[in-house]
Amino acid sequence: MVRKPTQDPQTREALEVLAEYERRLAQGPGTLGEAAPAARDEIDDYLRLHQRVAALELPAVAPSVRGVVLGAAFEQVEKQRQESGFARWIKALLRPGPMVVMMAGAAVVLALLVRPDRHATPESPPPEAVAMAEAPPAPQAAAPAEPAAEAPDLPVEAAAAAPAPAAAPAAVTPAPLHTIEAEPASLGPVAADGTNKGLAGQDKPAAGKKEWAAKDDAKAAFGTAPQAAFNELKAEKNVEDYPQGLSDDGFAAPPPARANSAPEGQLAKQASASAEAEQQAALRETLGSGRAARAEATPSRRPAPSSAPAPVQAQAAEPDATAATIAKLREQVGKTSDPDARAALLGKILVLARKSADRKTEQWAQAQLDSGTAKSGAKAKMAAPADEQVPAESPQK
Amino acid sequence: MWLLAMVIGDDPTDETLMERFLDGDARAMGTLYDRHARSLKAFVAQQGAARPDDVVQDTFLRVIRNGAGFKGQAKFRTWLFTIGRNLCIDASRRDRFRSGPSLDAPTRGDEGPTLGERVSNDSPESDASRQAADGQFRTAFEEAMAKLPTEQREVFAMRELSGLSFAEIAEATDCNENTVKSRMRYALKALRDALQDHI
Repeated sequence: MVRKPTQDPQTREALEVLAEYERRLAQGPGTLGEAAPAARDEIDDYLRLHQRVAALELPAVAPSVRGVVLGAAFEQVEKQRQESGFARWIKALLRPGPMVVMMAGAAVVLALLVRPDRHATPESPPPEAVAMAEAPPAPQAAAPAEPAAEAPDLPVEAAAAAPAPAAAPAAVTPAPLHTIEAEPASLGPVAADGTNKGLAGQDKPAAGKKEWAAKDDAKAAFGTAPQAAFNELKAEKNVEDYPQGLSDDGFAAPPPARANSAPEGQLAKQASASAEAEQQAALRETLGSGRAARAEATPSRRPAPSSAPAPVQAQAAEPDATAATIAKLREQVGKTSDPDARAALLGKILVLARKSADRKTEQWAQAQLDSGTAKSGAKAKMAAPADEQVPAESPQK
Repeated sequence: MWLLAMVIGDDPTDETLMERFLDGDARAMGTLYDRHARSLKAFVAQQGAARPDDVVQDTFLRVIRNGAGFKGQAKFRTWLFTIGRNLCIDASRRDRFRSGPSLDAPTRGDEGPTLGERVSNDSPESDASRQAADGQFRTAFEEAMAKLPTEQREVFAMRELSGLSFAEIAEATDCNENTVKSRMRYALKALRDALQDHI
């Protein structure tokens, strides 16, 4: 900082005189100064005054004061030595440097704890997909649709949330539907009433889209427990949308292309065909797994949790084999006169009828058992085969 | 650092002695007391303190208790005289409301006997010998100093009696250095006029 020179003449003169006085004090009182003669006399007086004052002996301090001061000094040193290590540690910790380091560490730990990807549950769909599904179609949807090969590209969260198709067949269908809904431009032109007319078989009004989105919301709300029921409903909805019926192998046949819903351009045709094929594949898997689940759940009204889905052909032959077995057992019932053996046969028929959901045979067997032809002891035998819980993988048993 | 100075044999600075005291060497405070107690008492006495020894004692006790607050940013002597000056101001405020004379206060200047001593031992020999020792100049000087304004008196006492530099005085009195020099020149001029017959 540059100090401005003093402008006051009196102060300037005082500073000059004092500077000369100090200079002559440093060099010795006998030296001649460079000041003016008037100032020189004044400075000589100051130097004589200084000599007289310096000759004065400084006053002595009472000896007791020194004792008090030294005693306090020793006491303070002893107090510092007795200070606990914890207090010293706290004092060292509360300095600015360690405080900054501790706060930075706490911030890092807090950031790791509240990281957003830890809160994202795998079951919940990403909020962006739901929002885009409910949003009205973009006005530029009349432009040529994107290639259908890009349609299955899921967001990272949705791809991670979608389980493997073989492990959980119920979770297969939402993925392609989400993709189509999330990219309305790929479905072709959109009418003024919200109806998408760009994809064959997908010309549902916007209300249908909202229905699907509502189902997705319901799935997210209820979690994984009602997932099977939800997918059954979805599969039935798909069957209703394609009323042309099922093919011989039990899968939904592809719907015929309608003239009024045909895409306008070649690209739109390719996109719609590809998306349609993917939906068909998803429907096949859903229907097949849904039937398998129903067949397993029939005997005890509750599917075995660890049972894998049986092959489709074996499940198709299952009702015939069960019906043949039931017919054989009914013949034996007619031939048998022993009430115990008859009751045992009726119990087996009852079990098989329940397993194959044959209500008529089940009612008949129950009526035979209740009609009194069976003895009281036969009822106990009837309960035994019911508890045997024949596995679904061996329907002939 | 202070260990190196001790091995070499140099006279340790005030700051080094204070550092030693903070490290647990109580004798370093004794050295500091021996260096500055008398000059501090001279300054305190010129400030009009009724009991300069008490002020000196309180000043060093404050230094001991607040030693951890001494960061070495200022010189120890400046810090010491700042504490002494503040204690003088406090003492003068207290004494303003005191009506009667204190038995512990010296009756004449700083070296004169207290009122209690004069009451108990009022021998003319001791009074005459003390007056002879002080001389006429001391009396005239103290009277002239008492007439000076407080600002000029404290600057002159710090500079001429205690040996502080103008920069240290400026820091202790929280003033500009040119202001301190200006006050010093006025004090010199006033004392020269008052003690013209003695110089």
